[in-house]
Amino acid sequence: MSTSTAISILQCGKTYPNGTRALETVDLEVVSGETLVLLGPSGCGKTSLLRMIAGLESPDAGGRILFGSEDVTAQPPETRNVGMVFQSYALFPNMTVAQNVGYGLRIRRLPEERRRARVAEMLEMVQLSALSARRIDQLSGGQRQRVALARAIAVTPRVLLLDEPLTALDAKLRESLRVDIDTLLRKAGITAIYVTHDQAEAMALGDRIVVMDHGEIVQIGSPTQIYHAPANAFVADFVGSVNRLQGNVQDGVWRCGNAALPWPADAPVGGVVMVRPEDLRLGHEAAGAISGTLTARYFLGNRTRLLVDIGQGAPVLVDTSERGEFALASQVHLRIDPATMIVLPA
Amino acid sequence: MSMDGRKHTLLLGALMAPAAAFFLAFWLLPMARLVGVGASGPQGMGAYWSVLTNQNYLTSLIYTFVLSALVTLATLVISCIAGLFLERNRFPGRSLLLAVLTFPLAFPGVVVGFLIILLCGRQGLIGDLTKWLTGEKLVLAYSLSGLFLGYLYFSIPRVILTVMAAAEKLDYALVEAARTLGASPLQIVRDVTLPALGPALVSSGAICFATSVGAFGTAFTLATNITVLPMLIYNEFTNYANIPVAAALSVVLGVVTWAVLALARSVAGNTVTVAA
Repeated sequence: MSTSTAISILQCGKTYPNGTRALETVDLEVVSGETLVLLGPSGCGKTSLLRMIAGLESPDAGGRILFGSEDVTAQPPETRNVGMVFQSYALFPNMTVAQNVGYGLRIRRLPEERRRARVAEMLEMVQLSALSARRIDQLSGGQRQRVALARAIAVTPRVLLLDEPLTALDAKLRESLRVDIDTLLRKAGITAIYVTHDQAEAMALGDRIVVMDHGEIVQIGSPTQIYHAPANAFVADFVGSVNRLQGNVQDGVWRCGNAALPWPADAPVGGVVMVRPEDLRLGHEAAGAISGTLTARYFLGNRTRLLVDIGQGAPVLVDTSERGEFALASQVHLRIDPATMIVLPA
Repeated sequence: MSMDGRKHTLLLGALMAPAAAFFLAFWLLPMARLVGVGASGPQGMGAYWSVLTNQNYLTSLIYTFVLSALVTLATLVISCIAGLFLERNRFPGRSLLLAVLTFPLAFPGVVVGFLIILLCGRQGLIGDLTKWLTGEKLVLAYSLSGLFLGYLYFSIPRVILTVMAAAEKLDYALVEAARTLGASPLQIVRDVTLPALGPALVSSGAICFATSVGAFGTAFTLATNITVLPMLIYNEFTNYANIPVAAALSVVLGVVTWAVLALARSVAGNTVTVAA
């Protein structure tokens, strides 16, 4: 059933009639069958890019969009054969669940028999077979989003476009639906482009993540690359939490407090050192460690977040899975594994 | 608690009393009286029967309801297209155009009738134009077409405003979703826009129908060749002092219009589930 397609975005920018530059000129290749996540804060251009692929917006002159080798730039959304899932679900309130899922098939004049079979198959896939005759306003948010997914996939689109599909749902449901969507996309083997501002969602779903900021693509990489080797401070900050540590570099050694770590050979001159909270280890002695005072602690269940004042202005965040007292105002010694040190241009 | 509840009910009753008194004095009593008067003539209840069997009355009834239905239909089609266009497009002069479009709302029916006479009466613009073009003067004002135009004129502004309000609430993502699923513009109108506007169209259409059935000023100015129901009632009442028939006609007019409104309301409630 898979008709997944590679997508090429060539020199596409978007300027709105009022002069707003929503997207700088970008190039992007989407591999057939992959799930690509466009991640960034609101206004970063990720939705504009997605809508361009859908055909709901057209790129500025010179931009081209290819589905496989077919240039679809001039095609309206009606003929592109994409599936789109909206943040607001956008289900037709005047139709039942089954009629919504079958809508694209009805438009394609698929014979009644085959349409019915496909709708049943789709509803089974999203585990909503029992609700096929329900009206949309009788469904919960999570059920609505599953109907929207089934409707988008039912037409075997060349690419599935998801615009913040989980944003309107509560945290718990978001997490379980995330797993459902992931399973579904893998099973369908469909090319999917997923827009979100939620880094956890991006990590969980993306084969690759495209981090965007101010209309530009800042980094493209696998979730681990994005997290462990961010291209710049924006990516490091946006994807998870990160500490900036001030130190001195001398003779190939970086010093901060009592800690002395080898300065990477390829590190930029005057680079900023960043360490993720979970990469800071609690030690027992001051030697070779950065020492500070514990100013706050938050028990989060699977870990405890500590705020440590090491005399550098902003407190250092430390995530530990150790069970301990963590008495406030006590001395804490932090150790850094050199491998976890992120050095970025200042 | 129960003491409180009783107090609450009493208070509610006291607050409702003026409305109830008003309803009784100015709706229920006159209506009962009207129904009674309708049956008070020499024929008794037969007056109601005669209204439906007498050729003159029946013709007038049919004319009125068919005319109103046609006006309603035309109004809905025109206003729906115009309202959607005005809601979806921003262009210079749009707010001015909107203000001008709602202008006829302020006109009494007589003025509307007057305007129609100016437009397509014997000395009207259309008459002059057609005479110049074909040598034959086209006079529509005093026929059914004149009434049709006049009614259309005062119906359109109301419906346009209602359509615009409903279109504003239409989630545009629905249209985009339909487009990505392959729907053509016409299919989108059929499957998304009209169902979304349905309740607004039915309710404003019903009001348009009721207003047309009861329109008097315009009819009074224009209806020289045909007699619509309000004119008929006026004539029976003032010229022939045939008060029972006037009352019976009024009751029939009221009942039919009310029935149409009620039907529209129940259909509007169902379209949401039945459509598609």
